[in-house]
Amino acid sequence: MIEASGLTKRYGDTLAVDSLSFTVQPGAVTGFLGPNGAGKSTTMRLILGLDAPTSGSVTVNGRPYAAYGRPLTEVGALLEARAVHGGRSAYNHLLWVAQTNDLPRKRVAEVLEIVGLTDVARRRSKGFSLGMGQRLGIATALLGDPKVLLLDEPVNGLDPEGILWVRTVLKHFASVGKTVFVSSHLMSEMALTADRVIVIGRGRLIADATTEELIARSGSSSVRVRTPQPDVLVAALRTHGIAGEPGDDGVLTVKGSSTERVGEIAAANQVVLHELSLQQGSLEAAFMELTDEAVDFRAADHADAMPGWEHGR
Amino acid sequence: MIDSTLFRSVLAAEWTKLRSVRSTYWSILIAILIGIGLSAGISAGTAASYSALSLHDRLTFDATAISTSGLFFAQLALGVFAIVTMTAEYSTGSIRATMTAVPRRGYVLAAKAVLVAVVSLVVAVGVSFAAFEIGQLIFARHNLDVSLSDPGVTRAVLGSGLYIAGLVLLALGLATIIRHTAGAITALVALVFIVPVVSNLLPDSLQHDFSRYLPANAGSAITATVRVPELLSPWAGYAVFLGWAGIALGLGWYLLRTRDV
Repeated sequence: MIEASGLTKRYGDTLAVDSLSFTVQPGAVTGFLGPNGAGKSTTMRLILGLDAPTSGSVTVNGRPYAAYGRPLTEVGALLEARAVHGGRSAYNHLLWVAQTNDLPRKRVAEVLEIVGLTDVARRRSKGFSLGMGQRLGIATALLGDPKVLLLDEPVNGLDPEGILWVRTVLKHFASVGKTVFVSSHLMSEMALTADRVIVIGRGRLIADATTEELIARSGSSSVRVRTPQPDVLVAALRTHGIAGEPGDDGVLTVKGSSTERVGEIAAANQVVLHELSLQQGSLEAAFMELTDEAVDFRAADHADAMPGWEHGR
Repeated sequence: MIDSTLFRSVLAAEWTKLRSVRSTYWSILIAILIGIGLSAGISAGTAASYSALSLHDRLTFDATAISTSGLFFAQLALGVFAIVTMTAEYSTGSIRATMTAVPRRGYVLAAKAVLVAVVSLVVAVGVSFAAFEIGQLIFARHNLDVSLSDPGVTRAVLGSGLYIAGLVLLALGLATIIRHTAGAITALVALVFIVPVVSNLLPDSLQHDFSRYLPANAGSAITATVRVPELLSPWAGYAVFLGWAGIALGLGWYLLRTRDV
């Protein structure tokens, strides 16, 4: 479990993380979403004690990360930025990491096998492709068979096979009761992998919900109706304050309502329906909607800060 | 509270880091070549021109110090070796892996300090004795040679190794404070090679109170058998030198624990 409370990090004039509070529960994959520069990596660094928070606190399984003398059986982490000396072989990199935490030497060979780097283990890592480097980072995270897995953009640079593999690993870890916290800017990837999603924008918490809730909550899901009498239905919906948007072939797209409600209104007005279905929104659309607001806030804040600057909207 | 088993683990990990990059071997090889080669060259040159020396220079002729004088330049290769153990972590980003694996950062610095000091001591003592023996062979042809059993000679030959062990600690401290390879090397060169020269321009009275406490001046007293009045006594000088290294490491330790990585 990861618990952040009022977590704030300021670099000079920039507020990278702004009183962020959230809890990442074990037994689920929690996605950490946000546009570039939203503060995802900074938050990860604060969790790992690499950066000290300006205020607030964050604990991993009840203790600050720095309180663990040998943290790797507790937390395994993959950072977005490269954290490997290119002149050292993959094997030696994993070996020294294992030695710091008194992990058995045979564990190095095991994780190399898991990530599929056994054949290149003795080669200096500066010759690795982006995908191989990412696999080495994941191997480092898995080394201590940790209770909490913290991965910053793990699928970056991986091929489709690698992406599928990461997805399987994450789900497996969650299914055995571990805490999995994974950041990504690939919303579609998170929709497939994450059970819960924490969304941040400009360092602030925007949403903390299950993936389904988030998609449902946003206005991006809609009801699709096909009828020979679209005009009648549009008029009937309007009397209930619901907007229906007519498309081709008598198809209506109805937003902000449910299949039940639209069906009831159609029945009450004796409208024949050929189709009535829920169109699931995508996490991508939900995310765009949420972060759009964050961007709007920024524009408004900026205008407020400038005397004589009129709101254009 | 010191966790000695954690320290042993970090020491083992830092040893793996040290032996698994090429720069370690290059630095040591260069230190050996410069230390022995330059010492032999300087010994031969001095021996050949001995008859042309002034009376003062003949009286202060130090066959031990001259035979190991190449180590004054070899110190730079070992200083760079010590610097890179820390700064390469920052330039490659591996510092994040290090501090994630060992959140108690002071242990990392302590382990690096022990390793660079021990490795440099072994290399420098070996080079110093080899250079001494070669130098005495050269001096023997001019009847200028001394032996290890002569007063202060063994201490001075060992002292060249001790001096370099202290120097690499100073270098590691600077590297921890500065975090950039080029910056740390510049600082080390300035402190060891340039500051003593500049201090020579000071008025004599100031020189006496100030110059001999400078790192290179204080530390080099232990490498000489002929007592120079401007310098501190060998062990007092070495203690001052270790004090400088301690200050650099202490400041580095404080900054390492408090700065973001």
